[in-house]
Amino acid sequence: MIASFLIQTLNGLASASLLFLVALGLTLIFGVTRVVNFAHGSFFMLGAYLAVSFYGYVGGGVLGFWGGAVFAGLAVGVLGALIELTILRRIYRAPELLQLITTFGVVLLLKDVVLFTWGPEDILGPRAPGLTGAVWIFGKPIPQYDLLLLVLGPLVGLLVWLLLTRTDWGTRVRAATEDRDMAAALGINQALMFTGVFALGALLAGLAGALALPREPANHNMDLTIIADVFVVTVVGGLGSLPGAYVAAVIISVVKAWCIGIGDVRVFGTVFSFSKLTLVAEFIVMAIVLIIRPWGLFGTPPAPQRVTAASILPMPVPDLKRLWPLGLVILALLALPLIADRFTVVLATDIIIFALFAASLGLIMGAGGMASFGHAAYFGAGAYAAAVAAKAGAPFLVAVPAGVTFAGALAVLFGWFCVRLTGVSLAMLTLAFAQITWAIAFQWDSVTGGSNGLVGVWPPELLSDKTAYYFATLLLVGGAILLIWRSVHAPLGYLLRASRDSRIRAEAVGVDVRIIQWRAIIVAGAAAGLAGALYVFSKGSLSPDSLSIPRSVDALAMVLIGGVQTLVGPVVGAVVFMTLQDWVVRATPYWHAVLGITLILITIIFPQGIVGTLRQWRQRREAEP
Amino acid sequence: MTLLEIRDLDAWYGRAQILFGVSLEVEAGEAAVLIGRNGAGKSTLMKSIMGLEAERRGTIRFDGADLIAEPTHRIARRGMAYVPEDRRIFTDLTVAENLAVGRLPPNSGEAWTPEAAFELFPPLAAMRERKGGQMSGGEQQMLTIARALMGNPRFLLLDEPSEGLAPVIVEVIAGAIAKLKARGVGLLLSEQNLHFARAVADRAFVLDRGHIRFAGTLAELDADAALKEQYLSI
Repeated sequence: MIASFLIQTLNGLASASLLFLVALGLTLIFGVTRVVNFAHGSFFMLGAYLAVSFYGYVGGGVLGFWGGAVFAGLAVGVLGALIELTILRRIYRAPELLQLITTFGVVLLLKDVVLFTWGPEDILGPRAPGLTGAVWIFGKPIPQYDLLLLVLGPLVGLLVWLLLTRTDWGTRVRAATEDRDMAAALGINQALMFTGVFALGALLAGLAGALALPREPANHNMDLTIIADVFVVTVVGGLGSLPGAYVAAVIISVVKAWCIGIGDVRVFGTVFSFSKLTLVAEFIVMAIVLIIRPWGLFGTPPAPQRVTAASILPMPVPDLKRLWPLGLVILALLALPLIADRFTVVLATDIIIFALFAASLGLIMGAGGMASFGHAAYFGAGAYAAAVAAKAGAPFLVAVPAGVTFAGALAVLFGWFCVRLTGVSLAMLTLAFAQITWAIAFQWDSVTGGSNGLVGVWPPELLSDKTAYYFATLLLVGGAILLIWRSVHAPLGYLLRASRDSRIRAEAVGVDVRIIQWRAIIVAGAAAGLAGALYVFSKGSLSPDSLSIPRSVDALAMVLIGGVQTLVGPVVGAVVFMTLQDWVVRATPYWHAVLGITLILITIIFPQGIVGTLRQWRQRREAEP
Repeated sequence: MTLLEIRDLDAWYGRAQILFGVSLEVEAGEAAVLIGRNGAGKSTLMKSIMGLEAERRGTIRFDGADLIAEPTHRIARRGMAYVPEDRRIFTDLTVAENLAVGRLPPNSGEAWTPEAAFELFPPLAAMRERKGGQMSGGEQQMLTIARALMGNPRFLLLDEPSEGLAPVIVEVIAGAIAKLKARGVGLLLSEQNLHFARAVADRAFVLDRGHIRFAGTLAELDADAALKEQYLSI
């Protein structure tokens, strides 16, 4: 037993090294530029693919493997510098949320670059020459390569630490991390330093990707899998802390390895499979840390943000007399099945469902000011709960409320943690939650059908006609959107906006900001769950894709396209987005790249958001003599 | 020789205009003092010269070059140094490291060294390895000035250098200013303490709600009781 634990601990430490290298790069970049680079997992994935290609050209041996790792690190470093020069440089002054979305655009773009260059299949990489054997410890084999990794991670960490503390460049980087404007006032060229730090961070991620090859083949899930883990590590360790990154990487990796080591345990006749609980274990570790130290083990509490909302217009109470366009829209929606073909009705049903999904995210992002990169968790939870209920024989009218309830319950759980964080940490946490939810759906074969998902989930006879289902969807979504709209103009909405605009003042007048935000997340989660439940009955089947991170980003894109600070915005955004997607997907297999480039361009052209940028232009015109 | 010449400078934070057509001149080897109440725009004027935070329009001519369109680090490398009111020491860095961050190649003449700075501010010599965050306000103020000197400036912006400091430290700083003047460095400092201003400055500008209301010697300012009553008394 003890031997087994020791073995798994060593195994976990080896994994921790890779995780640490990626987290270290992310933390360095964040420290200086204040940008959380979502594309860091993509750099990791690119490193793996580049090393595989290098190996393909050069062949095996020491040069093929270690040369490949160095090549991958350098190449990804150069790519990082190019991305910094062309994209990130333009968004340093933009709000955090927009920066996150820009770098997510890079994620989508690089995903398709990899697909285009290397194809969809997993590619087995080389093994480290001379290290393919095992060392026997307590009668158990440990791969020699794991032992090397175990040393390599801390070693690279030490080198980076020496670079930061023993060189002039490193001293300047630490100065800029603390106060970049003051550093500039002392003659330090920030632009040059940002490019350098970004390249260094990218290099570390690319190197880690290449070093991961002997343990896993190069594959398309590497980017989001590692970034979710890295976000957990960063939240647990504390954003911006080098020792925090290592300690957290060790804790997370070792706990996961222990779970695998324990394997199946029989308790009172029931078999618990710990090896399938790795993600839950990760979640529990993160939960405990967030309860005790919300800002991470080695982090410092962030200064409360003041007036981030200077550019937000107050939301006017709608004038009923000016709602006639809404009446026209409703009439058009009711008349649609009379004039449109079957295909259009199905597409329209999808659009209506996603309008609710986007509107629910719009509630917490717009009025709540909370960025969520994992809203699909609620959508997917609602869909899975409804589908599982329907499979178990529940009628439509039970299955759909079951979906809503389950999604709401999940929001109760996740929301409790989310309201403890703000800004980028919050965004990272929501993404980690969504990835954990996705992985559970992906792994829990007996209930969710694993990667195959669930099929044959159809609505009752009465709604089996596409037009009938369209009307049912319209009715339910219309009701839900009306509720969201109502809650924004009810005390909940007022308190939510007050908490967003000035947390300190809201607290000073007696608002329990966390409770208010928590309630909003629950409302939004339940609404997204309804959208998910309606979605599964519309499609008849369900796969883990429905709660994947790209699905969450779809919702973000809809809200962003339509505008965060209006109620109609997300709905309009959903219509535009879905129509566009339907059109692009039929034209090219590279929908991700198209969406990624669109996101990057929108955020660069409108760095203050569309409304904010227009206002800035007007202001500048007024200022001219 | 006029080293710094500002003409018709306007500055904004977002929509709020802070400076209105500010014009002033400072010569090499001369210390000019900006006097005015809280919120008059003294700090904004200094930040505008450095290209920090505020948006600005007008002319800032420094030794023949116009700074108005230059990025902050280029302005610093031209020999303009800035000592902010809140000091902005790098708290995680040691005294020696803080000085190292400020180091720039000299535009001309002899370069400042940490040793030369320690001669100017003797208390710092004993705390080279101490972190900036573990120093008193007065020690931080000396370190900020020393850090600025490492860039071998020809001009120094000092925002409220005597504020909240013990008299003995104020004396050290006044001595440093005198030595810098003797080396031909130009200075612009903001002050609410007229006593300190008289001790170090040759020329005064009174700033009130973003406008320059007076330009002249300190003796002329002292002679004008009405002006002092209107713009300086509380």
